[in-house]
Amino acid sequence: MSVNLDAIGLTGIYAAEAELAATESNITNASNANYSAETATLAVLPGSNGAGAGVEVVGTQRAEAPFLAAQINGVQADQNYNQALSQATSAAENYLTPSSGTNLGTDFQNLIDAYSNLAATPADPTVRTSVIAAATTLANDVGSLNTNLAAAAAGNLAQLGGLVSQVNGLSQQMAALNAEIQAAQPGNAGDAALLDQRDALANQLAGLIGATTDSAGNVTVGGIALVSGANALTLATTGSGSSTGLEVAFAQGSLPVQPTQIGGTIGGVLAAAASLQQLQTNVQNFATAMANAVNGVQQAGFGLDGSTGVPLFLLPTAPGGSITLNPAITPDNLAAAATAAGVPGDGSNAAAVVALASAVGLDSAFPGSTLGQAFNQIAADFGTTVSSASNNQQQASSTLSSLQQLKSSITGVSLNDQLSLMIEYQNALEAAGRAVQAASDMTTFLIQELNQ
Amino acid sequence: MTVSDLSLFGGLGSALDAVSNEIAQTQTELATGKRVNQPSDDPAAFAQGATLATQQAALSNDVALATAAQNTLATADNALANAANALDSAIQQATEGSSGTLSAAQMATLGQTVGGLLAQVISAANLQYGGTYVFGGNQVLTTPYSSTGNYNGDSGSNAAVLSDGSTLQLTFNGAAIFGNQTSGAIGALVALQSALNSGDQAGTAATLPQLQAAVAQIAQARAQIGATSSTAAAVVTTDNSDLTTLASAQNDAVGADLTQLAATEQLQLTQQQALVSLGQALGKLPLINILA
Repeated sequence: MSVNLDAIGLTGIYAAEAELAATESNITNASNANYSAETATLAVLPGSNGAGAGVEVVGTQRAEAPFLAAQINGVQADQNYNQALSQATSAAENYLTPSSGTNLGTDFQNLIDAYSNLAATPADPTVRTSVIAAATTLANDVGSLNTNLAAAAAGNLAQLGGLVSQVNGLSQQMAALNAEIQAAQPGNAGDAALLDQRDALANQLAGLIGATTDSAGNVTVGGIALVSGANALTLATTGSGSSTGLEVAFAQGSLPVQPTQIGGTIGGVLAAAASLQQLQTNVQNFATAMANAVNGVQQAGFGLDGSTGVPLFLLPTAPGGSITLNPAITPDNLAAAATAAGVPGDGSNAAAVVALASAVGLDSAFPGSTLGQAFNQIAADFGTTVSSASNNQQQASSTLSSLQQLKSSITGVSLNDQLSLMIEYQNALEAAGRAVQAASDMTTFLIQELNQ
Repeated sequence: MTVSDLSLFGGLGSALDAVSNEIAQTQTELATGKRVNQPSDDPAAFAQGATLATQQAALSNDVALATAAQNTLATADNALANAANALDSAIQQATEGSSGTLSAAQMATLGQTVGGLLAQVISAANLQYGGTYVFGGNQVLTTPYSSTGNYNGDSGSNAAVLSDGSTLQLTFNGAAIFGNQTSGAIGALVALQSALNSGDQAGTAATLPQLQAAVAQIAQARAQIGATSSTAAAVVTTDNSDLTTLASAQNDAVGADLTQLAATEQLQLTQQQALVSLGQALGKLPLINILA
């Protein structure tokens, strides 16, 4: 029986080198969040007589946690969705916060207080001017809030083009990677690196649009394929403004993606835009209801100059518009009197406006509320949206962090572990080297003995 | 379980972010003194606080209106008191003039005195407060009485309307209080002056019941104004008390417990410092530092 000690020792050196190479890669990538720890896979090299003939490096094993990776992508989509929704709605909430924005409920109460003063002193020109000033503030604040909310919603939707471009770029990268992975030798370090890249792309696509990626790298959004093997389809925006949507373009046509099918940042952006548009609609309805109520009383009364039928506010003439102060209103034609023209001391019509403050159901969306309460409820309802998005984002962020730590315990790199392994592999390398040295010494000894 | 270095430091970063956000929130609440600064802080409490603020604004306006009403009514009462005094003097003149002991010349002198009293009553009836005639009904911009006692006002009135819908009457139908050239206080004084000037003892005596009725009418008006003024005073008292209650309720809804917040902030700052120290300690942990 013959034993090739040199060869066996060399396989050990190769194996230790492969292990050290994997450890080196692991240490180098310890701070790379997209990296999965690698280990060299070894196998016994069978000898001719049943004994081992050394060790063989089979390939590089990549640590994987596919279930956790899918969970992380799902939670990443939730986190990004709520983050986008929270950021957009929080910014808009400033318009409803008394310290930084407007409070139409307070503005309306100030108008009522001005009318209350007018009822007490109907002929006082200063008080009449005060009513118009309060109405001007109210109309201006409604207009400002309406404009700001429209701009916020439009600004939010304007992000969609860039985000969709990012999705398309990532889809193309994913398709290209799929082709490379199919062509790569499974089990080598290059293959592991490609799989790391694909996992990172899958996570980015999940975060951007709530896409799901299967183990073969196929990507779907709301059940619609976006990447199929080495082919990527194109996502595009459709419509504009409040009717903005998305579609996946095929060679034969396109398939619309419903907002409910979209998650991630893009889903959050769409949800935020819808939420802002709903808030704008609620504010417009409130303002219109208030203007109609005040005008109804105002137009039935009489001004100091005997005029009647003059509205205090003008209603919006186009969708998305806002109420404005009637430019024709003057201190003299402001209708404080109800009984007849030319009765300067009659404040009963002004008193009728004051009564609107306690009237419920003027804004039909809030049948049990006064106008002041209705606006407070509009603000509170939007606050619930903001609060809910923020809480959901924090919860998703916390869950994501836990899942990432869990996954990291399987696929991540512990420098302590790697340093321990490095010592072990250094020792193995040294031992294999000594085995080769021993074989060499034996050969030298035998040659010397044969020469004597 | 293996703890990767990335997750170790990542977890620390998340914890630092969280405690930093909490510190920012606490400091905002400390700066404003409010637990609820925007709708999303606590939507239900925000709505409640905003509604309470609106009620406070309405009540403050009520207090201002009621206070102004008290001033108007006090001035009106003074005017009516002057008118009552004038009528009392007129009754003395009428009593003296109808005694049968005065000559025509003496009665004419009394007539001149009554003329002055008539002017005093008309002046009281033409009271103007804050640019508004108080006894002209709804005709607040028109002088209610001419110098001869002709009434130019109307039978209306206006009132301050409070937030609960109740009213405080601020202008009055002068004719119902002072009458005119032929009725009421002014009518009685015109008749008395005429009787005295013409030396008509019987006519002078005939004005006495009218004058006494006019005194009663003025007294009734003063009682009405006094009642309204009392109502206004009660509104001021009640609304000020309600404002205190509302402020307390609003503080309960959106206010912050500053003592508790200060303690919380201290704890959070300590947590933050501890996390920073932990990060410094973690940086020394990897085996390589020990092996080195």
